[in-house]
Amino acid sequence: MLTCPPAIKKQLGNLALASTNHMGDIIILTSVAAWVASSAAQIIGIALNKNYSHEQKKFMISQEAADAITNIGLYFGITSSLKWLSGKMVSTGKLTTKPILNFLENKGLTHCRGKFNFDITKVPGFKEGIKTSYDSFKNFAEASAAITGGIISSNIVTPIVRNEIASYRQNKYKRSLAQTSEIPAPKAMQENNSVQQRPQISTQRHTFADFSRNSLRI
Amino acid sequence: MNISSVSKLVSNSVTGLNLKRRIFEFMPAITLPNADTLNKIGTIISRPDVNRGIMGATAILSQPFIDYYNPKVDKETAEVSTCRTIGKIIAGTAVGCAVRSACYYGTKALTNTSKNAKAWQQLLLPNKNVVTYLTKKYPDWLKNYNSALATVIGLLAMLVTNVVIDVPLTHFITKHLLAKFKKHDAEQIQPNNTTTPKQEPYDVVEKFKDIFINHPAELNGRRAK
Repeated sequence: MLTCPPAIKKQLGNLALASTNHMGDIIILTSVAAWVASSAAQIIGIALNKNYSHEQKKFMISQEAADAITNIGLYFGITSSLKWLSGKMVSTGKLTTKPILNFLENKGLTHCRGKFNFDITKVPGFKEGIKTSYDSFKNFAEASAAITGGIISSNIVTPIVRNEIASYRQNKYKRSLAQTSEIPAPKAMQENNSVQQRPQISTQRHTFADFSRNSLRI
Repeated sequence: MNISSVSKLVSNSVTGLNLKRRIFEFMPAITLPNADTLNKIGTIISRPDVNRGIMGATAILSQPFIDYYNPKVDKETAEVSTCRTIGKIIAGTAVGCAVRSACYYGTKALTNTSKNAKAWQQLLLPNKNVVTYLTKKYPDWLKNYNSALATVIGLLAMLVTNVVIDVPLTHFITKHLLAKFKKHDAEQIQPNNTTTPKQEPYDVVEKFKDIFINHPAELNGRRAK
């Protein structure tokens, strides 16, 4: 008979319980795991590439790690804050549905609605009355907040911050080049390079394609 | 000396100036009318493939513009960056949606809760007591479970497809977009640089007169050819 091992069944049970009430958390955790896996793959790709010197690898790995920390930090910070806000709004009744509001009206607690320290789940009769409806709505609100947070962080904030960091690095590199160009080059070198071109630095993150083509040379 | 204000200031600084609470209090009270519709929407947008599609659609509307109008890099870098971003979004979204969709329908087929289901159709279901508890308490639990499970499996699958499909596809799209950008740039630069003489309108009658009357020798030469 085709069945899963008991250890996997147990994990599937945990996932089922978590997904029922904490879909937002699952979205955030899996997205963070995806970011970590993607960044780890990039770093491993650099580390295993034989075409780079030790110094080049050191520079590129630190660059990639800084990128990963920025991306993951921003994603986690923004999404978890938004998720917290939506969860808090639902638990205090600030963001609510008709059935939950009716429940509060029946209990005579509409004046407590939206107060920071108020918690609907602690109202007597909550479990028998609206727990299922409340849990579903909270799950929806948190999942929506996690998705919205993901859109804001991954598609708006992270690209802007990443561009800022990349251009800062580019300027720093240009400055260091300018400083080195002030030192007179050897005569033979000056004769060979009558026109000196300053190299351009791409602000893009490196991918496996770049590594496999051996096109990444600093 | 009264230090309560100082300690309050320090306490507020430590707790982020109560920023969370301030934002919470700034938010208006909202009552949504139809909870069932919202829960259905929640179930749909939580699906990994739909989620990836939403992320991709919003990404294509924002990220290329951010990269293209980045004032701190030169035009060429901005163009390369934009092409690469578009390539990454298109490849990532297309492959991501396809893989996650396959995972979602795969898990759905392997989490059948009906009594007549075969053993393999219940392969990815949790233990029976968990299923009984959840079915009793949350009738819609299976939809969320399918989404969560498909997200986890999709994440594992994407570790492979990212390298095998995404990267070459991104490279292919970027190359084509970059070629188009360069062609467009060349077309824009050409009219300013080249000094082509202004051409007169071509008059067929005048041209014939010119050949037959003024230059008959040239006509003979052409015939000979």
